Amino acid sequence: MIFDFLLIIFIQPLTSYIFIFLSPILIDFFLDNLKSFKLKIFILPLMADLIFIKPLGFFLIITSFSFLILFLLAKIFPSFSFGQIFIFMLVFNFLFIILFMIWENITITPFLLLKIVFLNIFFQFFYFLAISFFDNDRRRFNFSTKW
Amino acid sequence: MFKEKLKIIMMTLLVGIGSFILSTRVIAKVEEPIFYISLNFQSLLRETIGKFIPWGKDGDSFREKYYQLLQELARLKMGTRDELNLSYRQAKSLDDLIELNVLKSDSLGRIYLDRKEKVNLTEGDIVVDQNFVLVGTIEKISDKFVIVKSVNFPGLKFKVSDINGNILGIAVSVSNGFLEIDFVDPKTNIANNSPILTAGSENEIFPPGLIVGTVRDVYYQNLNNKIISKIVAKTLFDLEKGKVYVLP
Repeated sequence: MIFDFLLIIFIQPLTSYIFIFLSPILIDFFLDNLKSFKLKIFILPLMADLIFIKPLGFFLIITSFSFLILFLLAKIFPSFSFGQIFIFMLVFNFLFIILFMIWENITITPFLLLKIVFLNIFFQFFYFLAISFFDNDRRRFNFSTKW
Repeated sequence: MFKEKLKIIMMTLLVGIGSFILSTRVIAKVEEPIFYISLNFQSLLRETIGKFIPWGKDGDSFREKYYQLLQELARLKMGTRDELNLSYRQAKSLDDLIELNVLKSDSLGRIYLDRKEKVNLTEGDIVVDQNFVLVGTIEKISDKFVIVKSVNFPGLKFKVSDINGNILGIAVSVSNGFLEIDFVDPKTNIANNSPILTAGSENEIFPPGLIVGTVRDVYYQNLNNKIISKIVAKTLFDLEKGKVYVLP
């Protein structure tokens, strides 16, 4: 947890395209660490609001709304394997970035959208690998999450 | 597990909506000093890291001389257009303008400035760098800081011309400091590295005659003819000195 705070305080100000605070939230979501997930999904987006100079609650709304839409899609299309980590991350990142760009009145061009989405996915995978490598107490990924 | 996660998400959404409403309606003034502290911290962080990693620094010593030449050329061009009664033409030097320090510049085209003294600013005021190159317009003013929407903001559209005042077309910012100019007049004749200036009337987002960037690539309809289909330009503003200037 302290590592996540330090990461956001010292690394997030250096990048506007990569939403670093999403990685700790997603990893706890996939590993079903509900207590840690509950804490991080409240605190980390609020910290991001202070770094991105957004009204408090901005990233809370976008993050939770992205999760909600994904839950809905998983219920509507149960055969689409939204539980699989790769598909989940792809759809989640697309939803998050699109919502962010719409709210910020940034024109959504395919190039910019794909660039930001894949930068974020790349960072998230890198974060997951780093965490699973260094933290031996965490359960290993089973590459699917329980709905 | 699904129900627990859904409960947490719903609670987060409600808290988020509540915080947002409070933040924008009730505690906006309380947030400003906190944002100001955050901006100063981020500025300090970047400066500290910049001492060890020289990112974004251009070691080209000719760049400044090039900018000065462009600046002089743009002044001459502005000076010859008598039909324009533009207040900023009266500015003989940067001393006539309001100087503000840059706190943060993000990749999505927003620049945060320190409003140390209570200077008189208005939303929509034009911001230039020390070379009189267009940076952007003021989007939001608070007690402690100012937010500028720069020409790098994705999707920003404005008319542009060449150095002679001939309209090139509508430039659209596509991120990373690049502008795409479509609907170019087929008779246009322009080469790489030519300056691009703002154009149009005073009612546009940006007043005419300000340097925006230089041509990077010219795309033709086909290899044989010289009819231009698209021009790609690169914005030129430079925030390395950490200061920008607001035009009166």
